[in-house]
Amino acid sequence: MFDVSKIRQDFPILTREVHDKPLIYLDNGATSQKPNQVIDAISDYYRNHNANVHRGVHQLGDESTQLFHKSRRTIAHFFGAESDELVVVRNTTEAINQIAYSWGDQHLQADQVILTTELEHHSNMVPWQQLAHRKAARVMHVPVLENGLLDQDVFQHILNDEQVALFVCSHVSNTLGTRNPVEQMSEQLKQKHPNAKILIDGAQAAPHLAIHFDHSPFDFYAVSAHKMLGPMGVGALLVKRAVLEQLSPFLFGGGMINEVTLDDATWADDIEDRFTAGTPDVAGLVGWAAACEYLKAIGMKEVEEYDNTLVRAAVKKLSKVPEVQVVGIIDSAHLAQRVGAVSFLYKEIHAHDVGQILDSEGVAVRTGHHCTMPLHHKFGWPATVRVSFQIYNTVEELDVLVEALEKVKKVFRR
Amino acid sequence: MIDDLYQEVILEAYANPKNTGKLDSFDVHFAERNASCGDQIEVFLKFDDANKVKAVSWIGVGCAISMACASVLSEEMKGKNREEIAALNKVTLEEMLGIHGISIGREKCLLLALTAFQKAITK
Repeated sequence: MFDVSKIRQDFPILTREVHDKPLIYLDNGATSQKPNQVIDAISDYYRNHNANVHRGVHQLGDESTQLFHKSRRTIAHFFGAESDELVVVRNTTEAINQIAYSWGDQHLQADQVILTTELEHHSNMVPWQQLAHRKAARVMHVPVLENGLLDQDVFQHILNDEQVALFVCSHVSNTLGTRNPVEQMSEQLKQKHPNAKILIDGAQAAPHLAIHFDHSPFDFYAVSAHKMLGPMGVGALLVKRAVLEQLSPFLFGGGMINEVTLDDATWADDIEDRFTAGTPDVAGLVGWAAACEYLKAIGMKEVEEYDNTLVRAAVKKLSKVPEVQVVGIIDSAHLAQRVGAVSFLYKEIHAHDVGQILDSEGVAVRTGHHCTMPLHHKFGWPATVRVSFQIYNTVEELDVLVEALEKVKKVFRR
Repeated sequence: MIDDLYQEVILEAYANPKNTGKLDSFDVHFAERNASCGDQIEVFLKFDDANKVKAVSWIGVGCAISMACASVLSEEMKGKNREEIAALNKVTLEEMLGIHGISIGREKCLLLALTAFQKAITK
């Protein structure tokens, strides 16, 4: 049974006040808060087990290495993948860059198409622009419609007319919360272009949806720990086994080698080692595994359902505020496809000012272009306010948000 | 704190900005943007024979802080020479607007117009 009041007790930061008001944290798309279980796991690692992995022939070295492997397994299984399909990285951005260098630089040919969309985060846009420049390849974009959905007709036309070598798409849009039909699009792509590779940016999906990587048509899936109750500074690139052999390392150094001479080197056979240059963030991985266990205990189906409850409540409540225009999916028939975030414009008041006044009422939101400048330009939004959710948010908090919006009117129209 | 930030000087300047538009004739101009939030401004300056600002204007899109600051600052520009413009800083802007200690998150909003004016005279 999903019990939000019980869940809230696990998050110590939720008891603090901001500007003498109870904190209402609605900036989870930027980063989530952490439960005691995660904080304690990290603390326990540093207090009792800290040592470098795969090196020292001593007790602590063994314990640390075992915790590292165990955490990798827990995280990989959480996403429906095997441990040897998980490359440890710092964050989703690094995972995406890893594919640009490890796969793109090796396999992409001149004039081939990298297909992406207009609603991507800059981190899933700029690496492909740069790769295209390096390889004289082309980047094409599936347009986003004003209702928040991707234009599937244009997607089909591109599949029919172009040599698509790589499809990169966010599972859930960080600005609009649109859950893109990436499974369906990937199947269609593979039918037309069997050799094309597919990378899904799962940064905003992983906190709210169950991911079944090994049963998906995706070749690569990128995630960050910190948006799903885990610590900052650690993330994963999931890679299908069959594709792993096609990747070349792009970070070189200790830990990832087989043999080194003064002039050359060979790479570790073990995939886990080959892509882990330098000392990994063991404590981060231990904390992330604790976050996965925490979410698993609640159940990702329950997590997804509760998120949709918050999304629907937010759209409904915000739509009743006359000055507010919610952007993206708003019709209830399609709201099941909205995940994690609701963004809006406030009539004649800049998002920054709205955010600042909400903060004075204890309500933390994100304001600006949320690293999606092309999306904002397309629809002529100078900036938007984004409220984004986690399992500890409540419908009552959304009432406080709406009340706080009243203060915006008071400040600017007094 | 919020009342300190959104007090009358800023709200008035935001509601009725001065010196907006593009000068018909100008000596220098510069377009600047705040990459983190998307605020944009373009400034125009014309100097007289004594090298002092004879005419000033700006065009911008942004929050109340950045736009109010652009308006108040544009008034302050009149009659100043390049050295005086270069000497302006965050503290002088806070004094002009009556703000005490802008938060880190809004510092770039405050500095947007000044950065544009200072880049315009040095480029």
